[in-house]
Amino acid sequence: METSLSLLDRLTRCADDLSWEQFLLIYQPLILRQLDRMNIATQDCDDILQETLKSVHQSLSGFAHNGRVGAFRRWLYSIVQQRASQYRQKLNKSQFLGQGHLLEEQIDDTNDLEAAWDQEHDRFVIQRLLTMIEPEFTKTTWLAFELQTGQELSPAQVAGELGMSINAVMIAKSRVLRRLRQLGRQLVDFGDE
Amino acid sequence: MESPHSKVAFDNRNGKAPLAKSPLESPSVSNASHQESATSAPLVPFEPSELPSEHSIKVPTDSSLSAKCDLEHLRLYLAGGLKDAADYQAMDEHLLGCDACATIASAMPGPQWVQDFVVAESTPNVTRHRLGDAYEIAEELGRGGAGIVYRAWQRPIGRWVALKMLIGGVAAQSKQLARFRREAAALAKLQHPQIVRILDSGEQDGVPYLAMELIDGPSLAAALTHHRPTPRQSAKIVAELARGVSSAHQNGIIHRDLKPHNVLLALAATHTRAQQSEANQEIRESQFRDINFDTVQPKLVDFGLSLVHDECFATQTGESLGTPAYVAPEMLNPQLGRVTEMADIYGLGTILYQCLYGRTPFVGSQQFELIEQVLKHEPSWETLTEAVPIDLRTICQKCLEKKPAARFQSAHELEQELNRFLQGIPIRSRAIGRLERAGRWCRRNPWPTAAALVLIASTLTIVSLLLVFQSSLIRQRDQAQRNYDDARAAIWEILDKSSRESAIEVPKLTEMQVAQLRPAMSFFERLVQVAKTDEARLDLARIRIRLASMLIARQELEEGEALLLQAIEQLRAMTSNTSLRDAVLIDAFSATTKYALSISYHDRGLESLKLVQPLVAQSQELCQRHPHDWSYRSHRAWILHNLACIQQHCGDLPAAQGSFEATIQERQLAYELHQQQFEQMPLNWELELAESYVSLATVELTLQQQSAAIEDFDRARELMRLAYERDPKNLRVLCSAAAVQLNLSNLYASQQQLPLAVAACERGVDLIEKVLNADPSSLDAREYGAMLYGNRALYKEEKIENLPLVIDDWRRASELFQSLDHRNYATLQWGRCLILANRWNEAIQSLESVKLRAEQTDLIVFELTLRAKLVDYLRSQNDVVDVAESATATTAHFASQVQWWQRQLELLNQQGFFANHPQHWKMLQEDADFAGVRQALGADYWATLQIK
Repeated sequence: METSLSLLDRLTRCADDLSWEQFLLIYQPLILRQLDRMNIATQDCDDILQETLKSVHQSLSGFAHNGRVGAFRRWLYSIVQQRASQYRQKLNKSQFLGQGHLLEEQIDDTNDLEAAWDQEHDRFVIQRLLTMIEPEFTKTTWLAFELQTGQELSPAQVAGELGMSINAVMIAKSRVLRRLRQLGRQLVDFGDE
Repeated sequence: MESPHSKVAFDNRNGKAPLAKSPLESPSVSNASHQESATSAPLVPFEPSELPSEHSIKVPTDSSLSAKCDLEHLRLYLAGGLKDAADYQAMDEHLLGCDACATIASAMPGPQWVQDFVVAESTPNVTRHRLGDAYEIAEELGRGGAGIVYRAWQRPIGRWVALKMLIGGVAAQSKQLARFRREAAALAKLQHPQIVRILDSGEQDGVPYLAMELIDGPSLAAALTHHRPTPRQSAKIVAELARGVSSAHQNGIIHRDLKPHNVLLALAATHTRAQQSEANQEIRESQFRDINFDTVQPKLVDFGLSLVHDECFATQTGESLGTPAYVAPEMLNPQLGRVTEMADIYGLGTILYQCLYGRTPFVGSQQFELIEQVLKHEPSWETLTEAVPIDLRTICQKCLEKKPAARFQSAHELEQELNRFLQGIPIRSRAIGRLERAGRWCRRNPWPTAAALVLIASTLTIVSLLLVFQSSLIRQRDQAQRNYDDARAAIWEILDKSSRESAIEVPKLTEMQVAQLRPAMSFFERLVQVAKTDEARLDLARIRIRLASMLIARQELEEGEALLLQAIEQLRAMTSNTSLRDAVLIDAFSATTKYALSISYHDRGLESLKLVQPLVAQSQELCQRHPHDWSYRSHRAWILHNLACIQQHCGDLPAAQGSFEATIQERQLAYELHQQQFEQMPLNWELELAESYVSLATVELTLQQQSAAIEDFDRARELMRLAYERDPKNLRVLCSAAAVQLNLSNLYASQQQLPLAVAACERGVDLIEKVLNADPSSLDAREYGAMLYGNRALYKEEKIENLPLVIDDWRRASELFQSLDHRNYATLQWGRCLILANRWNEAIQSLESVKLRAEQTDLIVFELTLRAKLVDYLRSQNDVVDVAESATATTAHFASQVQWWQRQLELLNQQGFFANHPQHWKMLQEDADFAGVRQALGADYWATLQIK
């Protein structure tokens, strides 16, 4: 696996199977949760998800990141929303009764929905990315990272716990974070790009 | 009409020139304020635990170190923000061998996104409907300390369950998580009809959940708000609960949080699923109404606070407790013994009590009141309605005994006793007579209250503590020593806590601290009279020093100095005690230095120098006697710092420079020692060191050593950035960072780099507004803020489009300045700019608040000039205005301006202003600017003015 490219780079440039699989791993649950939030019946969620993923797959190579944080997140959201509203229109036509008001209500809280998506996106993606990169590290390195961040232990405590020097503990943390950043570049807002 | 702009703009030079050097631009002024902050700063370091620590030293100051020891580089490295892999590799290698960097790195907070995203637990997959695939969520049933409980449909099995999850799901604290897991583990062990059954547990997206049997009845607490069970019903309910508790105890689990809210009443009638699924609000309310205490099955829930027996420990400070109304005394005060099964007996007692009496055993509006009652008082056994059978009361009494050993020794024993009552068999517990109760009340040791209060210290002040101490001093002299230890620990803990409290959420911090220090001081004063120990005297002296520092920082010099003198005298008297001698001496030195600094404010500089200079060598001796104790070094650093401030006051700048440099060196030594002693830097070290660099830089600035000054400012800025990253809400950091910007703005202005100066002001204003937002009364912040606004207005290019901003800046500066002189200056500038902007009415109003003293010649001339503009303007308006209404207003304004002139000229004349400054008289008589005024007052008026 080419490791110097970010996941998004790999997706947009070469779109190999592995990258796509990783993409699904991250985004499938995220999209499902969003659809659920949009009040879409469970049995229909899968269809819309497939539609959405199909669109994403087709247009990924055409997606050009403008360098701004959140560009991909918003692009993806727009596809999800498009698919969801197409689905609603279909539903309206087929049921042609009493759905009009529902649609309007949902349009009203579009902003809330987008905010929820934005809010959840980074945290969720980071967590999935962490799961993805974990196998790349030795157990000790990973623990040194995890104890500092997840458990909020001080580096000195971690060093004591793992029998490492503080130096090594700090290096371990930096290595994990750099890998995470590198993989998640332009997907996630790391605050200082 | 001729444009007023050009003329007033010209006048403005008059206004600006004479003052330019005094209030705003001179670094010495900002220095002075800085020193004030320096006097308050030593407060913090008194207790080693709160002090900064060490190593910064190497990085910002020692240029001989390799280029890789670079803070910014290190920060990027840690955050994963370096450019390429080679950079990382180089840094990996460097870090592996450089302990200094590793230490620094370990003290740096991680990047913000790590805090935001990685640390926080993920949201569980609960949208409105579902948790994972297994549960469909119907509605929220309630919220508790650790969790939120939903009614949910378990899909695979097809049943209703109570689904409990962490509140919010997002960012669950590790404590909450632990509590949650504890509950799951405890419940999994328990199978009993009186304990709610666990059906499933697991984690969804990293957040644990618990599925429990759904009890569709109300909680006992809710039921009791509508109904009162009979004594027999009460006995039966508690007997059943005791059976459940007994089973838990046999499994090694202590509930620790028994109360009516944690008892659910299962309605004995079985419900069909259809009925249950319709259990909407209405049905549940009807259940409240129809509750039948004879048939309900009480069930225990919420084992979130439970303890597994083997890991019994005294309640830790800060651990969340149940509400004090139901909590056993030993959970409030570890000295009463470990928390054992007896805590649950007490809990069952509170439930029984509430069933019988319809209220909690103890009632108090304040938490500390309640705690004091739980620890010291008997519940009231009076009833308003039907009498409680004496046997049942006796049982209840025995459950609520303060001493665990005096209660029933097992839940089983309690259950049996209740059953005896229910069956009409005589109970075994002996009723306690009134006399015995009274006797016990006296025996009850009130001191543990102190410890208990500390546990929840956040909710109370020292004042309430002292009430307790005071009463005990009267009653229990024999226990004075032990009590004193408790009290002392409690007081220092609270004081330290509040002196560490610098977060933005605490408004009026200094007021609060002073309010705490005063009663603490009077406590120690009384104690010294009783206990007469040196330790108590030392405490008293230290409290006095602290309070004095606060007062001096608040400009209450007289009282502060008096306190310092008392403290010094007291400390000097104690030096005969050899075991404490050095600790006492160093405190005495500090107090002396503070006193000296304070008197140097009112022109007793030489005297103060004489006081402090010998201490430099003497404190060095102490440091050499205690080469490993960082606190001596730290004290010495403050002595040097304050000496430097005094030298600066006295105008001996080279000496001040040397002393500040020595301060920095001494601090670095102290930090190193702290690092060795405690393996970490002291709290706020960055800020402390930064403040020294700022002081040094301002001295260098006055000595015209610009480049050295810039370097030192940069070091200070870097340190403050570190401090800010570690604790973005620390008001002191923000305030000092603003002071640095103020100094920088002066520095740039002196080099004619006005845009840079303005930019520095911008940054400073942003910082200071945050502080003022949180604590509008902070004197330091107001002063810095005023100067920053004033500087920004002064250095901004005076273009018409900038005017609205400049006007606002002057307005804000005049609001913020404390000293009348500075405020008047800012107000006049404000008025001048308003006139420039043609905002005449506002200008008239703004000048109303100006009240000048006779010796402020320049400001008086400034004001006269502005007032002359107003008269000119109003005259011109009189000529053109034709709308009656505004004409009247204008005329009124005009009349009042003329009146002002008459009054003012007479006043000035009386004060001998014109006699002393004939040139100003000439100006009024001849200058074209005042032609309008001359005309308005009339030739007759001028003739009446005889120069005195």
